[in-house]
Amino acid sequence: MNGTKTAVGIIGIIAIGVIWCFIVLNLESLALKELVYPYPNMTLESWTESFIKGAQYAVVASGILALIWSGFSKALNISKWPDTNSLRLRWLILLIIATIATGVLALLYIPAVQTGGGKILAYVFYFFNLFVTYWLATALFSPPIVKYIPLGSKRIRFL
Amino acid sequence: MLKKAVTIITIIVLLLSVISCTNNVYAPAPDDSPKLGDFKVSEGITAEIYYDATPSMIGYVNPGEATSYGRTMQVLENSIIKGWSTQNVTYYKFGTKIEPINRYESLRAKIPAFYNDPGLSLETHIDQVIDKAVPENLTIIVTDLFQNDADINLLVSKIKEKYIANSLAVGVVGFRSEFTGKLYDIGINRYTYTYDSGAEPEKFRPFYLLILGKPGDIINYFNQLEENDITGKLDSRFLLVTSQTFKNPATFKGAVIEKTDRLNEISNIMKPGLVDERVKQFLIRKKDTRSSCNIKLKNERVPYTPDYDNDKITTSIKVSKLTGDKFIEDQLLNESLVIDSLKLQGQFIEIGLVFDSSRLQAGKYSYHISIRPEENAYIIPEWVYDWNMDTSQIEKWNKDPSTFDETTTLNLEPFISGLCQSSTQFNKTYSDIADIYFYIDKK
Repeated sequence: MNGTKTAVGIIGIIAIGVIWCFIVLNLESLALKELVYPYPNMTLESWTESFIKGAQYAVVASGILALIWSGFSKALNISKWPDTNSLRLRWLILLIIATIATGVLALLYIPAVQTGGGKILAYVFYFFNLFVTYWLATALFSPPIVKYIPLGSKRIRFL
Repeated sequence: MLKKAVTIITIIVLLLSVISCTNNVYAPAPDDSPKLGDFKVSEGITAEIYYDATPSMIGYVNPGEATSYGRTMQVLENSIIKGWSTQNVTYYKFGTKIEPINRYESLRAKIPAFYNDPGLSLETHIDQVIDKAVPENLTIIVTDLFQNDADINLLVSKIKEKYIANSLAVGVVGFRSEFTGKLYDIGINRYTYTYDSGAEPEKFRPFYLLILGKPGDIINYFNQLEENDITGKLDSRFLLVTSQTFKNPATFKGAVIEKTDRLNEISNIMKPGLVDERVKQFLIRKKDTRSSCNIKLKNERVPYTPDYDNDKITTSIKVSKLTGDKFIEDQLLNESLVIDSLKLQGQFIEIGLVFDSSRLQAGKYSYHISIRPEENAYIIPEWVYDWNMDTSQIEKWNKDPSTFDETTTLNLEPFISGLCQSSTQFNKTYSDIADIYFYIDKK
């Protein structure tokens, strides 16, 4: 039963990443296409392609960190069980790593724009994606033993 | 909850599919073929060299063979041999009439006896040479270009009809050489002056090679003359007059978009994979009523041709709207694009464009922009003015011959100007400076 739940957890994390990559990023790029004015010699399509590529990397990075959280939780020794604050700190450290990775990817993959708020929105999307994918994946699919460690997971956990 | 999530995802997928399917009418590529210049060098060459054998030429050979004129005579044929794998050269001397000569006799063009032919030596009839010349051949005329007003007009007219009007070209190479002799027929009263330049290059007297034929062959011949190091050793000037100053009309190949405002470059108006270097595609959003861009087009200038005057460049704009799968011209929209600035700088053409997109309804548009020179748009090279004889001074020179400027050529400037002007008359037919299309998707 535990093995099934773990498998569901891993599949759930991957599913969130895949759904985000294929659907949500496209919706975000559609919104950005209406806002951004790339610099000359870069087509709008190239701009959004670069945005999507970086965003996908960021989502994948968040997903991997969620999986690391999941794996790390499975490896915990029940006899030396750390307290909740300590576990939550580890969860937060992984979140910070995901945030830094997302920030770096944003700097690398969000091309410059001439005017309009498109670039700010692109950054907002990157961090929103990070937050949702890492948080949602860990809040929904963390192993039962740590399922209430991610902040806010008590409210949405249904597995 | 899971059921709800699946429903939401399904709706999003369907929405994305609908959005991606609403924009599938692609615009065709421009239906006219790109205009390409012909600057090929002939594989083998048939050349005709005509020597001006009138008495005014003797002055160039009197100082001996080691003059600029003598050195030029040495490389005339040599440049043909180096420039083409097979060649057939025939030689002529001309004045009042044209006489064929053999190669051995042509080598005597470096000595005075060559020019003492009473049957030829009365007048320089270059126009007769033009009549005789075969356009497909490379015709080289060695002359001091001593022509009166009427001669010059006739000469320009004949070159224009036989060469420039037929996409052929005329090259002029000016040299300055030592001179000891007489100059005849200066001005209406046909004054004669005696002149000895001495060895000071600034006092040397000009002579010319007029080269007629295919533009590619003339450029190749110019290159061979340069490789023979004529330019290094001699005071020389090269000029090519042809109806095409650029090898091909500029397209977006190698172009740089320097600035855009409210204009997004896109790539989905034409079918993906369809490439035409004359086309750039842009998106203008509904809220943007004025869009602009500055573009730097790169072009390959035909070497040796004169520059254009930026104030004498003209543009034509043709606007069409995509209706069904075809662009239909709509002249009412011509004012929706203004050429804000246009500048030719060396190999670059800088264009500033402003779209008044408030005049456009949602749809796809084609803006065909042609840039070409107006008539008389060439800037005559400075050396032509420097080497031109100021005829207003003739009477003054007659009163005081010591002030006569022998380092110049009578009617040089009208001759070169006439050629340049005639060449721009034909640009309308087959040459553009730039030929580009802006495809606009107005939302």
